[in-house]
Amino acid sequence: MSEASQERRMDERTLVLRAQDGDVDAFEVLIDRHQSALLRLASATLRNRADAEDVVQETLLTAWRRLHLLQDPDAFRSWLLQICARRSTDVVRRSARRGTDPLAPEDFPEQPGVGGSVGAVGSGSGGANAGGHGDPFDAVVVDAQMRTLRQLLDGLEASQRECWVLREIDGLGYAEIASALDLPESTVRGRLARARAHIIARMEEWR
Amino acid sequence: MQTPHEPEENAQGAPIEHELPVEHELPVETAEQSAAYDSLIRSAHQEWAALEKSGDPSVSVSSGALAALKRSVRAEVRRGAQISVPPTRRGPMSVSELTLHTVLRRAVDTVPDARSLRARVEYAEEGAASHGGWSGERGMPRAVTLRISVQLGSPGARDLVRLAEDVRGAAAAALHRDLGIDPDRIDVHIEDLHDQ
Repeated sequence: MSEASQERRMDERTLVLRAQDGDVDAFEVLIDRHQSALLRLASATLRNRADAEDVVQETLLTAWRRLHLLQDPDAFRSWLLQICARRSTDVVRRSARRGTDPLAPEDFPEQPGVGGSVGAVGSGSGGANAGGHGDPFDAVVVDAQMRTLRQLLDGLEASQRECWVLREIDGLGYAEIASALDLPESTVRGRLARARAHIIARMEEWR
Repeated sequence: MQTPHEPEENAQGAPIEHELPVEHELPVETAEQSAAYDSLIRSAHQEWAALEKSGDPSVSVSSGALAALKRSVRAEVRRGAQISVPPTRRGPMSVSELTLHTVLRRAVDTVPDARSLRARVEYAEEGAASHGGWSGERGMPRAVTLRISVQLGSPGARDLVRLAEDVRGAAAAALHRDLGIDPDRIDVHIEDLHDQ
């Protein structure tokens, strides 16, 4: 069995330690394991699939460059999510400084292989989300038969969606989210409480 | 004086986000609502996991972007400092820290039931000036510490002392054969047990 195929079966801690030892094959396995979760998180903040993919690439390359600084290999996943959350927020801020609206749907050309899905959401969401066209979170969930969830998340601010994804989907604790987003823990709790209340209210409306 | 009902503003006039919702801001959640919410989250997890497992492109970074990323990662390998090793008959020689660690990792992995995790190397203080005139950034490797994992339930796991000796021997042989290095000490730390 080749070294690379053996590494496909290794646990996360082993892969992180081997990658810190300079094993590129181990880090490639880590890329494959985490890219989807990172895309989900970036997509919750950004509304452009290309931007979200860029953020995921930057996140993983940054992680590779700084991997030797990671003290606790068991913290690798939350460390990655932190980098990704910060990068996503930076993109939104940069867009705001440039005076462009990172959320404006007209700025987003359809992506090859994704455009059809995005279009399907845009036409299939019944107008529930006026800004839905080009929203990668839509693109990401469109084939997931998770449209209900997507529509429940409509109306949440990007900052609330980001907190919500980190907590409810990625399972981070309040302190980890606070650290990832550079926020007081109380603000994280507040955003999550509002997000939860919003989703429950939408669920009630649809009953 | 401001009441909790009035929107607060900061010095720039932007609204301040309340850290925690005030008590009356959010409605009280019923047990039925909580159960429905939890069920929704569970189904989202299950569906996402199923899509990821099936390699569905909707939940994955495009293959082109992933390939580009992996090329970048390989292009940015940290080779570390150059290490002094004994000169060959035809001249001085040095190797990168990355090379040394790769030799060690592969040596450990050849031992049945053992898996390399990470190695630490201590170097002699002097550079390679005393070794054939090559001035490496680091001196000769003096001590090696190997952190390893052992397969649970394997023959190696039943005789850890022997396994550690085998690992030590494999590392020493590889260092001598491939790099001409004979460190004073090779420590083996069995740190984990793995399933397979």
